[in-house]
Amino acid sequence: MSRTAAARRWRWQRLGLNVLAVLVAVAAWHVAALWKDNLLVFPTPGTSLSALRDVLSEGDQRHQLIITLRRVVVGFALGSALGVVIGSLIGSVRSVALTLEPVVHFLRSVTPVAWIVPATIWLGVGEGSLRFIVVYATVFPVTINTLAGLAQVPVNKVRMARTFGASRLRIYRSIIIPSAVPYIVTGMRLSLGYSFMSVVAAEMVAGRDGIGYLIYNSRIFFDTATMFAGILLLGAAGLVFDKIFSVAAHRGLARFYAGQVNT
Amino acid sequence: MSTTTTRAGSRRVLATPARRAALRRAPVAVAGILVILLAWELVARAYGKPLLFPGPAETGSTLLDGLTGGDIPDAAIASIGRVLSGLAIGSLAGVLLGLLSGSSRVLEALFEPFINVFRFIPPLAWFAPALLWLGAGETSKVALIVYTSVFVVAVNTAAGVKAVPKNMVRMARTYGAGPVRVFFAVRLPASLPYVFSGVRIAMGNAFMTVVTAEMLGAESGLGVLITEGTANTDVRGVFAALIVLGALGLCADRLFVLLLRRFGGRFSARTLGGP
Repeated sequence: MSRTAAARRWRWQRLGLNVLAVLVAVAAWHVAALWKDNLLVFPTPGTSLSALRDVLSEGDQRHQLIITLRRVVVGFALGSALGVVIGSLIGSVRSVALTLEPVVHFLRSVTPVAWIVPATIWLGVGEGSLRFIVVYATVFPVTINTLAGLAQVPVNKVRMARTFGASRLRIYRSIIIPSAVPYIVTGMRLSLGYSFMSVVAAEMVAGRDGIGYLIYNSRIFFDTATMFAGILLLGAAGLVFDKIFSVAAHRGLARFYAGQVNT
Repeated sequence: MSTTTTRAGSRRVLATPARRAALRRAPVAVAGILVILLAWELVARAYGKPLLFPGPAETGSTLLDGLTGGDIPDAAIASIGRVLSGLAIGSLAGVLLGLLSGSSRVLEALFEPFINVFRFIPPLAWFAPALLWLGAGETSKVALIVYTSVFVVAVNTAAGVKAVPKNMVRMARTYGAGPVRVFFAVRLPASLPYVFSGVRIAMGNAFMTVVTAEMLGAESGLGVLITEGTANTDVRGVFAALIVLGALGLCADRLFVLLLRRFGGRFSARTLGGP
């Protein structure tokens, strides 16, 4: 009884501490900006907020955010799907594993953004090559995690299914895939983060629109406030996407997590 | 996969079953890679423009030229230097931050809003402000790498400190260890595997940051080689740089795991066994 009361009180105290920390930081930022006294290079929280409002209210700039988010979603979806396919192939076919696994480990060590150059040469400057980068960044974490998931399938379950006369396909559908799902979800969550990182990098290097471009382009006008607005938007979008993904995954795929304490 | 568990125990034995299995598989793996190289060469030949889509032979000779007489070693050294210095500073700061927020829930409540917001902001987003504040030189690049690594390491360290088995702490207390002693003798060692896996992730991300930053403007570095290739529409140089990048990333990762197995000893055996 008193234990839950203490827990509840701590929850409020914790929230209070969170708010306190943020307030102190914002105040410190404000003082530092006033002391530095160069709003172009180091804006106050207030000017950054009004820049954020501008970015969100002007249709043209709001569109930049939508463009970036679309790239993230499309690239993430394609890359994850591809990762599951490649991972399953490597995980279940011996000869594919021996051929592709070293290649996968090599390719995943190459930084995604470095591919922007060949991508622009082959696919042209624009949407195709940017999406290629995001797909490239997302495919390998999902592949590696799918592999790990397939390797962790409880052998006894497979044996049991075989004993009961289940076909290979049936074993796949009812045992192997379901027990790999938590691993795949973990890989996808990692990939979601990578897709944000890579889309910003790609937009800065080779984009003509999107939030990454907006931030990088603002340097020409010494418009640090807009940069801050873009940075804040990216952070917020990343946080929201991560929360949506993890909640959706755990709700929608709850049955695959049965019997696991934490994931 | 299954070799990893046996490897630590039988490091010095020559012909373990795992090793024999690996030897048996080697020819198939080599053959597979040869098939892939051959397919690449054939596609490149069919494409017919070695400047735009070089095959493995063209790429290989460019790579050799670059490695022996060209600018690849210098570029690689410049990039590695940036990664190492940024990673060292960022990891130290991250460990400190993680230890603090992992061992006190008040500090955790104070830090968590920042850690939770900053770790979702892609490091490269800070490149433009960093240019304005720190100039276009080394400082801004190293600062970006510090940013890249600090939050990953902090989050992992905090998770590690919190995952320390309660019974270990209880036992140490029973034997009369004070809070400081418990921290240095129990909590810190037990959270080291988490710290290292954080640093390992940070290292991969640091490569991404440094290459992008170099592509956007630097004196030297692998990113510069890549942009030079674009300027000359010579993909051979770009491919050579990509191969160096992949090899570096792979070697750094392997080296990290190897060092841990060798020197991390009792801290790393189970948590960091991955392939």
